[in-house]
Amino acid sequence: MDLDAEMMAFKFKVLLVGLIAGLIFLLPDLVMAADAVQAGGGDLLPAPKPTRADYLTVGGISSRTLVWGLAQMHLFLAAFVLAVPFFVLCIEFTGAVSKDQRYDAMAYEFMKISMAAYSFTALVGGGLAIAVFLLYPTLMGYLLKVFRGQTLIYAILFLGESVCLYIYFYSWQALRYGNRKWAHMSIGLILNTVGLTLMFVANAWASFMMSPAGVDPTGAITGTVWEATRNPLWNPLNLHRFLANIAYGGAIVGAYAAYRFLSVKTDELRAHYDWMGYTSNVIAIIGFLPLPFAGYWLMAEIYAYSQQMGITAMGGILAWLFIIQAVLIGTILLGANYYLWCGLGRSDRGQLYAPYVKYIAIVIIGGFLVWVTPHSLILTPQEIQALGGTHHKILGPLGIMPAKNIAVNLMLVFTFMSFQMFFRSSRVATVAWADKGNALVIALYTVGCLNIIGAGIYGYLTPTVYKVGASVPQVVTTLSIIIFCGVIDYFMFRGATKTKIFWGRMSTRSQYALFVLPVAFTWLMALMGYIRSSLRTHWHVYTIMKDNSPEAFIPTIGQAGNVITVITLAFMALILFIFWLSQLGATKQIEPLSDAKLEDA
Amino acid sequence: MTMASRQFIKEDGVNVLKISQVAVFSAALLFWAAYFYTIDHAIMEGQGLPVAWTLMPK
Repeated sequence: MDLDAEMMAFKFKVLLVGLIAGLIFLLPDLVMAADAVQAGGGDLLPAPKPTRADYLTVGGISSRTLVWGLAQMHLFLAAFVLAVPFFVLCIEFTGAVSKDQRYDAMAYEFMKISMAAYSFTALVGGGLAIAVFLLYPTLMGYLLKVFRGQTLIYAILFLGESVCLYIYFYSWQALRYGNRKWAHMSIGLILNTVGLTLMFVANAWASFMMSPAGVDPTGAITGTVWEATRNPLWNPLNLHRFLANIAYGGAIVGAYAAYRFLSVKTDELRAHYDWMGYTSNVIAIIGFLPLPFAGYWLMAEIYAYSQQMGITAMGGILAWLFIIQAVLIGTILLGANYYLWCGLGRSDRGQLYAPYVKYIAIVIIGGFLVWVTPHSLILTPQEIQALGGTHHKILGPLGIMPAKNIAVNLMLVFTFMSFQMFFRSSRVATVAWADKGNALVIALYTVGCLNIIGAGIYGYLTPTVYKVGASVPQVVTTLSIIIFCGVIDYFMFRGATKTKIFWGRMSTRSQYALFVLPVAFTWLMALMGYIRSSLRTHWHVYTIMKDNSPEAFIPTIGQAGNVITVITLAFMALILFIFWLSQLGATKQIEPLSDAKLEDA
Repeated sequence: MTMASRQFIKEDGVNVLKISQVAVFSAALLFWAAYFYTIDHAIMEGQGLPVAWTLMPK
């Protein structure tokens, strides 16, 4: 071992020992937080009550809008850089098991994009930390008291994430084959564990502000840090963000693949980026399919924690934003499906499935229209008179949840069907029971869809509590269809004759569908971030610590629309810059000819 | 649709006009209906919401 390597190993050991020592010192602080507060103060101290004077304003800039923008931008970047290593590890594992080097090359390319984004994540995160401590010092002081040592653990985790990420990326070529590959994947596993923990810690603070735990009604700290962390909305938020990150990360790298597909000059490279775009789309769909259910769970838990908060979300002014949410999710589903339908052209057998595309399109567009139908209309007295009431007689029922649950579940089922068609379009089943297997699948779709519709109608006709209850069988039906179809296809197409897939045989317009996905996702995340944060209304920490700043109100929909659109555009500009950087890193200048060579020439 | 693609469909077993396949399809319909009926009832009752026709408006 040379001197440099020894020094590197020594530094690594010091860092590791430091991390472990830090954890040992901080763990008692974490667990004993409540005891420490009580022992030190005697009486329980309530949460502070900030006055107007406690809020600093810098240069007439809206503090809330500044923190809002930085937090949202940090969340976009963090979602991306946390998600990419997760599915990169999965792709790397697939490559190692299948011994197909193409997977490894693609995984490495995904990581390159993520690396370019990582420094921006840290930069914006640092800016956010400065902004919140400067502009909301009382709130941050209180949160520090509640979470105590956990904030330092967060810093250590961030350091660990950085170390693991750099080691994982820069050791890729050095640990590429044989047992070394497994060592490399182990580093990836540690990286993902640290990354996920980092996200869970950040989620604890955000969810504590919505559903505080480990404190009494005055805000005095009565429980441990763990109790504050494990507040009612923590796990629903963890699951929702984990799935959303995967879908979002997949959508962004899909846009990168489309960008490269459109810009490369050779068929070979076009085929590579087409395959990369397809894989990204699959990742985005896999993350997206269960996402509405995770969102549903989160919203159900919000209702369970505070009915008032739930009504603010779904029954008050914010309810209209769920119509915009429906438009964006419909756009995502249409974009993802359109890309899959175009993908049928990659194989000669794809034309067999092409006639069915129109039926899937009808269901998805029909579902989309039901989803965007509002329940409460903003009407003039004359319009109410003409309508014969505040709700339309025929379209009115489409505005409530049972109809929307039917729509969204059918849209997800038929999106899965598009994916299944593409999967089958390059395979011919060789098992003897193939025809019976197909009958089983068709029957599953038929009965499953009828069950989704039936449960929705039953929920509509029965008392309110059944409307919510009947949505659970619908979700289970959708998941049953996906899981059982997946299992049947796995056994049916095991050992199937594969037909050639002509990667790169895709239209230019199909690539624009891949651009639509990250734009719609980004806008959607910004919109839902606004909704989630607005649920606290005029509270910093819901029912515990009031917001007494001049901006202690829910922003109007118009103002929110402007802010989230600016944030989305800024992020898109940053992502384009990151794509350009990634491409620049792979560009080599041709060596200029010297005078001697010129003379020879 | 070309003859070749029709042939493909037959090879894939998508042609549901075969008698054996109709029988399997009918049995599959019954099987999945029983499955969904069971889980629907189990889930609703698990939530304390027994399923009954009497809950429907008359």
